[in-house]
Amino acid sequence: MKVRVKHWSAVAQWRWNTGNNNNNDNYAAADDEGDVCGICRVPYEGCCPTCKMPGDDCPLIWGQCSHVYHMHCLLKWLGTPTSKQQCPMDRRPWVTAERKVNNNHTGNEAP
Amino acid sequence: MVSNAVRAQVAAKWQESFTRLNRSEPGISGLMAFSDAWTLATEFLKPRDLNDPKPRRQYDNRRVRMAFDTINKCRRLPVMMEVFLEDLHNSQYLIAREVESHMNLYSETSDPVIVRALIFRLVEWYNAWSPPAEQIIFYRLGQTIISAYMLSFQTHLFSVLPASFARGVKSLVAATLLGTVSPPSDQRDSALWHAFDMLRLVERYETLIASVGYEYIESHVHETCAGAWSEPMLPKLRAWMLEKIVPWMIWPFARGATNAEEAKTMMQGVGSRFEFHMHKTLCDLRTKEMFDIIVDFPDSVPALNDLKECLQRVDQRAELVQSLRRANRKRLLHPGADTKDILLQYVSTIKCLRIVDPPGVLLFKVADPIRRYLRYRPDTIRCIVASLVGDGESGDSLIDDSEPIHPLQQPEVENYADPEWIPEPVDAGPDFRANKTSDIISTLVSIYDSKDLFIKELQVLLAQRLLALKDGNLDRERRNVEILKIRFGESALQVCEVMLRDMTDSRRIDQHVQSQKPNVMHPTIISRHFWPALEVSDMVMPGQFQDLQEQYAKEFSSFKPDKVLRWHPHLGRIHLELELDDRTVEADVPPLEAAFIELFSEKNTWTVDELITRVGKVTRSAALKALGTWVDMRLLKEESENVFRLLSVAEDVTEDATPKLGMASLREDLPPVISVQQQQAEQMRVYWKFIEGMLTNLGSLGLDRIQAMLKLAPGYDRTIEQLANFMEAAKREGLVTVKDGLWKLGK
Amino acid sequence: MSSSPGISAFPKNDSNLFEWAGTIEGAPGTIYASLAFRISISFPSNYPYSAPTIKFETPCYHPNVDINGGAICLDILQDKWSAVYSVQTVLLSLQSLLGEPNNASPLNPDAANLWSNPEAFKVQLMKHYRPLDGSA
Repeated sequence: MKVRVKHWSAVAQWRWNTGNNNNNDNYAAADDEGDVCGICRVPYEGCCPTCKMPGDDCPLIWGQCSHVYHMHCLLKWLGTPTSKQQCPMDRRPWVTAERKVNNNHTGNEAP
Repeated sequence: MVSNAVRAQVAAKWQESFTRLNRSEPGISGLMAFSDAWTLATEFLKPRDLNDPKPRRQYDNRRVRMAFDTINKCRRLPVMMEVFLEDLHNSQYLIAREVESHMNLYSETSDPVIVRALIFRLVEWYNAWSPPAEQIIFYRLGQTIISAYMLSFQTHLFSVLPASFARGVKSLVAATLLGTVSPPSDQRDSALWHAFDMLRLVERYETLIASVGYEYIESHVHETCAGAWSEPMLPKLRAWMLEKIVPWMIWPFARGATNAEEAKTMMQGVGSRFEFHMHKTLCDLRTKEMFDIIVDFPDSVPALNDLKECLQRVDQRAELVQSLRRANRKRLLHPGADTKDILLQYVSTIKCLRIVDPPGVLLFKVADPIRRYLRYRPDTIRCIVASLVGDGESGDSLIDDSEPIHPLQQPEVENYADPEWIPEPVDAGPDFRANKTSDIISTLVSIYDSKDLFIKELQVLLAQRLLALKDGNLDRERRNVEILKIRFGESALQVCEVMLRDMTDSRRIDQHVQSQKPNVMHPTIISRHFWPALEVSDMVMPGQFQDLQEQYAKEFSSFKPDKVLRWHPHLGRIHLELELDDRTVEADVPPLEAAFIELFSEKNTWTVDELITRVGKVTRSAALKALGTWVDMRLLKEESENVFRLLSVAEDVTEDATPKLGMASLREDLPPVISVQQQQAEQMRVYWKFIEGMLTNLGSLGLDRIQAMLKLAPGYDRTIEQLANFMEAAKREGLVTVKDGLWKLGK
Repeated sequence: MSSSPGISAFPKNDSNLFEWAGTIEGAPGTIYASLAFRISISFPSNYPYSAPTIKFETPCYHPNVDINGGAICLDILQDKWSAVYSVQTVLLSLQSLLGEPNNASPLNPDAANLWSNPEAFKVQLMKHYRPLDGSA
């Protein structure tokens, strides 16, 4: 028997590729709790308190220190004098990391 | 010894009498003439038997007149009257006999015609025995004699009338209304009413006659109005009263009126009683019919307007409420009724009672039990929400499309400074809330304390519909969300906005992916946290399906470098073409079915357990159901228990081939979205942490306060009753104690 | 709202979410062990970008706590504040501050001086302490 797929209406959800949540992924992990932004405590895939639409409208920002926040949350923090331009998590000077596309994630999307 | 003086006195008296009787006639000729006159007059007056076949003796009027004249001159009229009344008394057995024979006949036949005949016969007797007015009216005593006669005749007549006579009169009067006994020349039967009047029966039977009117009105109202709801009946009834009842009333109730104005005044009392009765009868009827009138709405609007008018004249509001509540309890609020039907009837009740009683007091009282009942039905919200988004599976919608879309309304606080303010109606209870302006949706949503439950259910419903969308046309859902935004507010629908945007984003992404590397997969890519919790599955798609997923995910990530895809492999549908040795089959199936048939392309025979191992964790019943799909399509055959073989070449199905799977396929398709109820049980555990923190830091708190504080928690939507149950459960577990309504943590 | 033992906090009422009440118990093995202190937490409108104001409501005899006003001297509540600090991290810091005061910058010099003498310190502590009565 030959099985030919003509059309497949599938359902998926998107996740930020934060580099630390998809290392040993399998397909079943679709409903784990997920990480939250350390500042606003909303999940990364949610949006910061000032946004209404998640995803590209409310992106994440990666620090070279490997900490990740909602971009809007971090910029607001850096705008306060208390921040002293430091990462709120480790208090090292904040340096935004270049996102390396196609870095060799293991797992589902780029075998 | 008689003295001379006495003798002289007797002589004088005798002489006086003689002179009076003899007058100044010569000799005793005067006395003789008086004697003749007396004989003639008493003979003339003597009551005779009408049933005596002998013809009545003829009298010379002139002689009779002269005789009375003579008696009058002799001043013997009073004596003659006594003799007449005595004779009358002695003859009355004749009347008694007449009455008895008629009434016996009536008892046998119940025919009012007999009563009518009796009455006319009694009039004949009365007339026959009546002293001739034209002969005696000129004398001083004339009128007295006639009155004495009337009184004596009636007294005796009434004493001999049997109890059945009243019944007879009633049926006769009723017959006059129906026109069944009246001669065609005299439809209103004025002759009969004259007879009644002559015998003074009208005064005697006035109440009885009125009751005939009441009963006649009742039966007419019932006959013409029962079930007739689609046209206004009151104008017709009024016209009927004018045409039928008022003319009839004139004889019994306005006799002796000399002109129309006078008649009107005389009939006013009884007329308004009749009119009241007509309204009351209709009101009672409509009250009894109210449940079905509501069912019939809007066709029954005329009946509702009638009822409104009736209620303004007849105070039957409490009865209406009681009756309708009773009917609702019996016919609506029971486990056998569909929630959708209860809601429909409730909405109709709202609309109907607003017509009958615009201030809404009746509605408030009737609606209260319905609302309390609906609150405890598990699928009420779902039904309301389905109706909100026009999920018209059963045609009838709770909401008119014509009804303008309003934001939800909160109950208004009374503004006493408003010059338009009017006090609440007197029968409004203390908890009555005027609901003047609320639209139907606000009223339905207000069954619950919080609108959050609706928002949740809306999200679940929208998610289900979006995931089931076949043609990709979002217009309808978009329009729904826009409408709901107006009702529930922009922020409440924010999550729905994200869902809609996910749908359009998915399409855009898909277009891009397809342009890079065509793929038969067309996924809906959702934003987690914004969609209702989806059923979790650990399923893994085998073979080419996994390849397709990986290719798609790869293209996605090269289009959106900072994002990855996670599949919900068990959701969605797959359209397959299966090429077998002798045939090609097309099928549109859920992923699990597709996964299994893919595995059968590797080898022809599988056990159920092998199959399950290959797709990860799926339940046995789900696996059997999926296999059943293919068995039904004659692609698989259950070789032995739990062993399935691919039918590469079609085989005839033997009779016993399928039954083993029969029950497995009965399993209901669960919606992929977890129900609100399931979510709630989970959340309550989270809220316990809240309650614990609250009681630790704020000391003991009342239930209201706890509820208010819990509303701070994201997504908290429990009612205070639910919270109370939860706290009671926590108390049983020793987590909290309660004293004077204040809860605190247990030690 | 806490999963750590001995610390918790909750909004005082549902109309103003910026004012919270909290409870801190002294950690076992410290001089504050088994004593519970009520604190008030006042969040600024730009929280978490600025630190909340925290005060002891229960008098707390401690080198870094003002015995009269309840003000606290703790670096993370001042210049070391970070937007990632939650109520829980702050309360945990306060709990550990009880057992490990920073005697270099005392708000209560008497207490700082007495810290090296635990018995005398405990007497002062208990003299000022008022147990919670269970209702705020």
